[in-house]
Amino acid sequence: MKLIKQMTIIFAVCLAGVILSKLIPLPATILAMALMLILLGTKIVKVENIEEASGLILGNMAMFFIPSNVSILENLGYMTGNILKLIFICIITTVITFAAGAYTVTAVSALQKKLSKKDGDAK
Amino acid sequence: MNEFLDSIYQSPFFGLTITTAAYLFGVFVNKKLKTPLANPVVIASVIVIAIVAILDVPLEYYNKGGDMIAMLLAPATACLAVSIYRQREILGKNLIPVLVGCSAASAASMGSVYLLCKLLKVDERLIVSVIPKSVTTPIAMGISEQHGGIVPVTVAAVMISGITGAIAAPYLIKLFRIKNPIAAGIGIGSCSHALGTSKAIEIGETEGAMSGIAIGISGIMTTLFALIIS
Repeated sequence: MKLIKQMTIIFAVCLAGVILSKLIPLPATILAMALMLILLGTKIVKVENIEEASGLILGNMAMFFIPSNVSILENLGYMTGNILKLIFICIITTVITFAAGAYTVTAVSALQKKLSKKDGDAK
Repeated sequence: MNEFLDSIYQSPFFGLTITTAAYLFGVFVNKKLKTPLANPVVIASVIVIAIVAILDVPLEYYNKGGDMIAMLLAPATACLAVSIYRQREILGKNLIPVLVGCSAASAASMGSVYLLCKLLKVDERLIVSVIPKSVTTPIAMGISEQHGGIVPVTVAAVMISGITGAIAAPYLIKLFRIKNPIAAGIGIGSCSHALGTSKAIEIGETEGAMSGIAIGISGIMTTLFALIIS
């Protein structure tokens, strides 16, 4: 029963995301995530109320990608002649993107600390 | 005989069973080999593709079961909010680095894709399809469609990026000596979306939560950048 209650909340939020996506030009899943955040933040939904179900889903999230991977097989035709290039590009750019994101966070974070220290000294 | 097999393959339980069983096998192999290279999703996907190809099962038959599993991606993305919420204090203290970091990653992703594609003389339409590769599938498909890309190619690019990130995450953290778990999480999420996040969650709660946030923010930034560029 508990699991069904939790799933109901989660499914309802997903449905709300679909509805919102008709009004706001963002994908339904992102809107659902944002909505869930708001609901948790305003304590309309309490974490305990969805803890187990969300833990279950998040823990196995990787499996949900398998069908998408299988569908790539169907559509190889679009990429003939370019498959190796594209794979190469995807891998390299993923590494570059990771570095850009991680380094920027580290740098801005360090900058933030420096600036707040300066304020501290000035006081 | 053919009709008999046909009706079996059309059962949703066909797709459901081979997918879940393949995943279990993938997890088993991963536990035995203990290396991120033996990624359960990759192993499972290869097995399922092999079964479908060898048995000559039309993709639409597999999808009767496969779609049910893929459908759970939506609630999973929504539940990322739970891990983000748990980390809200850390997020609050680091909001600006997070926002700037995601934007930088978005820009780097699109820029590097464009440059490499031009260098390797990739066709214009394929470039458009691959540019949104670092964001989560629904957003990437949306951007691709909006700008005239080939959606199945976009999905492939997103999957390859996700798998790369999921496998390479621990190595990348070591390689680039990322000591800050927030930075690590943002890095993973902004380059390999939800697939990478599932790995990030394994690495740590902060990394996992930040990775989830990165999915959202990078997604929004990429959409905006794409609009501006066109």
